[in-house]
Amino acid sequence: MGFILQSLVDALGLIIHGDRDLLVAIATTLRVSVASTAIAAALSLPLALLLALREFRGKRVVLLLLRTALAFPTVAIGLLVYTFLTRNGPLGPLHLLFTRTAIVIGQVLLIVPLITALAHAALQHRARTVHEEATLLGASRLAAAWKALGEMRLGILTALLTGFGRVISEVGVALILGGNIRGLTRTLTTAITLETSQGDFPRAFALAIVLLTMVLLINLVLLPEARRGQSR
Amino acid sequence: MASRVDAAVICEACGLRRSLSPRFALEIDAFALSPGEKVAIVGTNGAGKTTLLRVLAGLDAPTAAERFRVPSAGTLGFLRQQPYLFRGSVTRNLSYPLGVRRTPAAEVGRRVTETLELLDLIPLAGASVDRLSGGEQKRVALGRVLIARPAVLFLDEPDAHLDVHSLEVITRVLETSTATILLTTHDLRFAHRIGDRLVHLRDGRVVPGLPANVLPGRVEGERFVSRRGLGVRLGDAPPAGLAKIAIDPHSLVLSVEPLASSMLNQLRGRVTAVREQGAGVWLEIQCGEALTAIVSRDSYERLGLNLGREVYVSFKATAVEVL
Repeated sequence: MGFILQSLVDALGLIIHGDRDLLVAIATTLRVSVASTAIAAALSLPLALLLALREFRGKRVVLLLLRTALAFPTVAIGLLVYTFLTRNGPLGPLHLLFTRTAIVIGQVLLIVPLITALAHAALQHRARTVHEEATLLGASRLAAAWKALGEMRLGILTALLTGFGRVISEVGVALILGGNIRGLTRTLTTAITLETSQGDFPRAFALAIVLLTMVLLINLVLLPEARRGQSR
Repeated sequence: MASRVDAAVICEACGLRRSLSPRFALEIDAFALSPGEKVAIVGTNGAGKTTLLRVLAGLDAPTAAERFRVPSAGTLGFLRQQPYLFRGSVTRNLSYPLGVRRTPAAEVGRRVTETLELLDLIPLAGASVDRLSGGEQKRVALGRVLIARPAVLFLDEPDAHLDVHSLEVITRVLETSTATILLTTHDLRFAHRIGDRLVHLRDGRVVPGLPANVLPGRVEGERFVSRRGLGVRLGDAPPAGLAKIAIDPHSLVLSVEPLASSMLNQLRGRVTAVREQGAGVWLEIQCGEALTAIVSRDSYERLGLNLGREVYVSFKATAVEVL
């Protein structure tokens, strides 16, 4: 108990005193997590809509692969992207390894299957109905698809927040592709790993509390808004 | 059943087939909807009404068709059997079709007010659609279709599961509409009020005749007198004047001798047509008016109801429905 209390006090102290390393890590974490989630959303939502609205050969295989990809270890994705970005890799000349961009690439690959699968689950029952209704009322296919996303926004936002929660808390990709460079690619999770390896458990735990508090606040702000009017 | 198939039609289907399962297929020899017509497709649940409406609207593709045309793009308003109302208020739902057509805001406001008035929805304008009754939701859904002023209306059971007021409002709106209408219903009273032509669908096929004996004439007290002078006793006394009645063919009891029974209506007639249909036999009995009766094959053979046979047609006064 004393350990947890001490960690809470430390966490408050770090925030109140505006610990520079902490603030930079928070900023880095938010930048890469928001960017990863946004890019993944842009890729996943159209795919989820396609899966929900259309029947095509191989659809079951795609769904099976998506669900399988949910279990892909973050370290494995980190290693996979590493082989592409390393100096001798196909994308080596771009010099992206150990940058925030590299972390974003890895995290996007990590959560595209997750957001697609969850968004598809949210859309599959009513998306066709909404899409058909909107189309019958004169909407273009694109506008009708947008309407379907809007009508199912609680499920869609839950999918996005789950994806965001996954990237903000993952460590494998951030560590392998970012390199845990202080002030540049060090995120809250890689900082926690570092503090733990150095034996500073209260500080590591304090960082974890800061991370969880951030996710809690984001959920508190976004979910009630999405839930409003979606009782059907 | 109309078999007109020409250029001046809203939609048409010849030799159309749509298979839904090994046990059910829609098969339409010929159907056409002309501009200005109001056609009601009647039939029981599972007869294929919704399937036909969706195929004719172009929402579902036929499995095969010799000749097939759907309404021109942008002319059709389609009311689904179970419409989906979007989240938000009644007004927001009504505005949607105008919003996607980029209608100017002033025009949107004017048309929304007009539609709210038309469907008696003014008090509910700002209400969330989640809080509306089934009948109110149907009125909003119909308003949302009508607000774009489509020239052609396809309505899938617009009268289903409605409260009395909503049914009155929707019936009035459709009766006075100038649009070409194709609707489905299993309520003959509604079909006759809206439709100038009725199409009877059964087991995926258009069948001749209607599932009711509809007679125009006059109500005089507890009696109805058809235009050809056939007198029928009624169950209650509706307002006197011009009216139509319908008698369910299944409620007609046929006998070769007069029956001593509590049934107030007993008419003498002659079998003028016989047609096998499904498990039953449809008989046309000329008794001042041509009435259709449906009997089992067993009854048909036992009573020897051949062409020209003199029969007695009996039915209760309560079997007569004033439309």
